[in-house]
Amino acid sequence: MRNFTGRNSDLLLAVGLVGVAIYAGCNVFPQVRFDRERIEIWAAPQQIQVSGLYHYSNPSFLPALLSLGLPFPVDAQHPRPSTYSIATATEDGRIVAPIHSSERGSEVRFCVPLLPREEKWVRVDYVQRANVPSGTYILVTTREWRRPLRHGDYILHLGSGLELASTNYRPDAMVAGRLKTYSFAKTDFYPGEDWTFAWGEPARASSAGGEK
Amino acid sequence: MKFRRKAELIFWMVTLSALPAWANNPPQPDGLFSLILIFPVAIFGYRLAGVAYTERQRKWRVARGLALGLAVLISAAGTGIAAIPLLLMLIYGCLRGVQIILRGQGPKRVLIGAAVCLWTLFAISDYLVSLNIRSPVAVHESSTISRLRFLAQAEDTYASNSALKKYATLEQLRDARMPLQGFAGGSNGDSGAYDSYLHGAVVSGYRYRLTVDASGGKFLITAVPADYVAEVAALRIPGASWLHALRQRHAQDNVGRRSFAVDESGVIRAADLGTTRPVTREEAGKWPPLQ
Repeated sequence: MRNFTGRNSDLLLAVGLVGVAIYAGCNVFPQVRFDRERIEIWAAPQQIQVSGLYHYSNPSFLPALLSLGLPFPVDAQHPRPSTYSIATATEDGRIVAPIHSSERGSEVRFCVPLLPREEKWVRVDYVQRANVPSGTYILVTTREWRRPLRHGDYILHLGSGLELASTNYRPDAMVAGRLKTYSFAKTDFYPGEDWTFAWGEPARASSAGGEK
Repeated sequence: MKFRRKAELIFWMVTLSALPAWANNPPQPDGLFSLILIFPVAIFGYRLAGVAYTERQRKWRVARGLALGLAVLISAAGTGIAAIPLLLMLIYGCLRGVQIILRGQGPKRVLIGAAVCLWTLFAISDYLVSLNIRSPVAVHESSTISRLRFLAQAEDTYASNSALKKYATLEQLRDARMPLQGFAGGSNGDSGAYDSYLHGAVVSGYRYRLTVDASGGKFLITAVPADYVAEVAALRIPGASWLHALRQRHAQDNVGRRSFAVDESGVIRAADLGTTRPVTREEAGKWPPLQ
């Protein structure tokens, strides 16, 4: 045994280093937890404005480097947003420092370093054109973390004169004014589908249907 | 396996694994340019001072060349991982400078050696500065979009709550204590911000203006950059990062590029006016919606 470890110590070292590299760089075994999010969406004619606050914590005694992608819900009627920003933030959404992102093809990627036992809020803002009066917010990517969100708040503001036509998540609350606000909150949330919603002019919109 | 082989193996493993993970903050081109120039500067310095290579230097020159070439390659990755190659290049440059002073010929050797050392220090500092050049424009624009949204939301709430269903001026919004809210009611722009908007103060690089038409049925909020800054071109000449950092030292807080506007429809529009000036409703209405 001693002979084996002596002769092959370089191989053992190499395997160990590969393990360390995978652990630290590839996020295959995510020790970091994504446990809270707050999403606020403003819908206006032909435009969706999204602000998201995401909470990440590193309970491990090792530092971690999160490499994250920013998924945009893109289809023929909703082109890829060209205005977006990513930043570390405080719990109430104030920007602390911008995060540099890089684009690889159509994907936006960014890194968040986390020290041992560190927690961070990351704020993402984007504005998307909506050629039809509907929008989607991607939720199912939460499943890639392999554990449910501890808590999520989801808020939809509809611009002046717009009515909610449909949403696949039933709102818990509604504040009516010129600007209508619908919201729902989830705990232990393991989303099975993305959040899709549609709006219309008062005359065209039916009462919120298609809810689950 | 010899120690040297093991060291090589570790070096390659760390380099190949860490590069993809950290290469998200590359330096500006001039930072890398300055670093690479350390080598020709040292070589020319050696020649000018008439320093002869020792037998030991000749023996190791291929290995040294490979190691330094690799160091330059790694430094292209930027943040964090560049610390080790930077140290290597600092040692190389300064050592060459000292060798020129000690082993060179003629009275100019001190000057040449000092120049090599100074260039090394300058190149490394330029590289470090080039890593940290980040335009604040994107952050200012993001904050401005949020602020416009909160102001538009405050207008809608005010009009919904008022008996006459009319939109308000900034003074009226402030006096009515209309909250500027975001994120589930959490304050994201305190109500004291109204005073800043009213007094034309610069908020995250922008000045705000709210106009309500005579009937009170329409409003327009505009945000124009306090100091217009064109897109920063890539910095390519050695020292450009230093110069840029010195020029921008006091101006970073006031810069913006695009002008923004939002009206009662809630649609945020943007345009790069190439300058900073007041905007009319007619003009803003022709801007494309932000997307």
